[in-house]
Amino acid sequence: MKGIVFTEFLDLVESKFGLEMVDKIISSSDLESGGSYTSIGTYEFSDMLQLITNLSNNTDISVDDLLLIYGEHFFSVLKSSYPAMLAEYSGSLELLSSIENHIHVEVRKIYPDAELPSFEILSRSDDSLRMVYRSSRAMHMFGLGLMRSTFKHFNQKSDIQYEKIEEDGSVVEFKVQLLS
Amino acid sequence: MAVSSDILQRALDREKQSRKEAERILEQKATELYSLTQELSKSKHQLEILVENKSSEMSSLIQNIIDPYLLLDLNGYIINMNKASSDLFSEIQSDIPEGRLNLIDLVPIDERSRMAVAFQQMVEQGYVKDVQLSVKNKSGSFIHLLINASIVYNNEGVATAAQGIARDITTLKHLQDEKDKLFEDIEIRNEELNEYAHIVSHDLKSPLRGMNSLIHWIKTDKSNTLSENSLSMFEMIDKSILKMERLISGILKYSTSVIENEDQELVSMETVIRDVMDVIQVPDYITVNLPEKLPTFLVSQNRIDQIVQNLMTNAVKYVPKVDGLITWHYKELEDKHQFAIEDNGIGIAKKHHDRIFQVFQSLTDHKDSSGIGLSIVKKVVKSLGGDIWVESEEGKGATFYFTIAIQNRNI
Ligand code: HEM
Repeated sequence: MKGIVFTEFLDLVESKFGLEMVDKIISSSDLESGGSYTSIGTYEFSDMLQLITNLSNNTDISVDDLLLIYGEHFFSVLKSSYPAMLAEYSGSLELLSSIENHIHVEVRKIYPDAELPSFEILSRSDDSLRMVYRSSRAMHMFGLGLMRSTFKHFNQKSDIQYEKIEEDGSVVEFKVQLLS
Repeated sequence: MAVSSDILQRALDREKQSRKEAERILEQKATELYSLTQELSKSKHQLEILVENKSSEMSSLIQNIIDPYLLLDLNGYIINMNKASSDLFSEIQSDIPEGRLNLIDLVPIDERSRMAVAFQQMVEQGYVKDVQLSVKNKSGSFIHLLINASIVYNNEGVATAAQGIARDITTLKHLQDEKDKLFEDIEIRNEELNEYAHIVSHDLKSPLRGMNSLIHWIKTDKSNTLSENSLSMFEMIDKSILKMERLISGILKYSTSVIENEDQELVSMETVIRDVMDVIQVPDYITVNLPEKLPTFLVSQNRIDQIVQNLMTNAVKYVPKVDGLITWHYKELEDKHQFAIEDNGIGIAKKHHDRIFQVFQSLTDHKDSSGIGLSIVKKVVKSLGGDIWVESEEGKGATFYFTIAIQNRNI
């Protein structure tokens, strides 16, 4: 997993819960990296899993909710790091339906070792989109957060439903409705 | 709430750690970048060599094209042209500007709009084929060009350039014009000749008719005063007039015999001979033998009929009234069909063998012979790319040989 996902996460934890919380979740995890991350490095996904689980244990916020919040936050990181890529889209649905065959394709060109999910589009209309998320990392809630921020970014309203197809969350169907 | 110093220390350690990690990664990336650049400049160099080789190969190829060859961009600017091209242009355009050249600059002003139209047409349909362009060279005479040009597409099917080749067909065109003119002349001459022959024969015949009527009148007027002797002399004059008339008709026939060009068709020699036998009604006392193999070949039907009819008529005339025998022979030579017609007639003395094919030579005073027949046959045979000759001894029959050139079906 890319270092920026870790550094942004730990910054967010520090700003919301303080440096003690950062220290706590790092100290209580058995991290491959020893706990230090740089945005240009690449690290084990299991590190992220431990950090998030320990944050959940220490805050009584569920892992899913934490991922959702982090996803919503992460969009602003993408926005400042890759403004050109976002500028190519005029609406949320256009952007969401292009993740698989454009956005993440470009990401892989920049970072050949990126671990990206796949999105299979089931149907698409002017105001709706159905697609299936697939990833062994089961970060669909992170995706949901990104989607919500996407709509906020374009000043659009949405109703996003999702349904786990695999119990562990590695395959999830999203039904996205654009509201007027 | 103050953060404990332990925590701060650990945070600081992590920061240091990650800074070192970042520096290490950057260092490593820098090395990677350096070697990549090295490799890139190496491949760039190799590519340049390759491109250079290819383009020198290309340009020597282009130079070696005999006809003027041009490679243009899609706006008509010259990318490459061979020497034949620059020679041509310097021949037709006196003030070629310096620097980057456009095709338009290379053609004389009064040809530019036509050139522009042709270029536009090529861009639209992808090519132009056999466009003829006549341009004046500096000394004022015309150069005729045959132009073929097409758009060059890259791997993705996008038009990238245009190429054209111009063939100087001036000499060819002159030859063609000359040939056309000659044909026209010949046709006019033939017509004149034909007309002339008709007029001459008519003019020659009318005094004969006058004489004929005069003699008739004298005979009826003076029938009781004329002696036996005078009457038989008048009889002879009559015959001579008749002969004279036949001769004149003969000349007319000879001179007009192979004037027209005639269509070739596939003709069976056996059919020709049998048809002629019907037409001239070969008498029963004559046996005609045909060889087992006779060809079917490409020839003008009229001319082969004419030859066969003349030779058969002659043979029939000269064979004896009892046991007359006419035998046809055939042999295929390398590029000719050779036929022969043999008879058991009176034969022809050696000294006459050449004479008989000349105009006005007839051996006997046969009543229905003008002496022109064989000369016409010879003319017709010659017109078919063949020859005719005779083998004979006096009293032992005669064999007339003739050949006809084998025509290629494709012509
Ligand atoms: C400009 C737009 C985007 C960029 C540049 C981008 C880039 C990235 C990058 C760099 C990662 C991390 C890969 C790694 O850690 O190896 C990632 C992961 C992810 N992206 Fe995107 N992304 C974009 C938009 C989106 C959007 C709109 C979604 C919405 C569904 C999305 C869904 C995800 C998810 C769910 C992951 C987590 C990895 C996983 O689930 O396996 N991305 N993306």
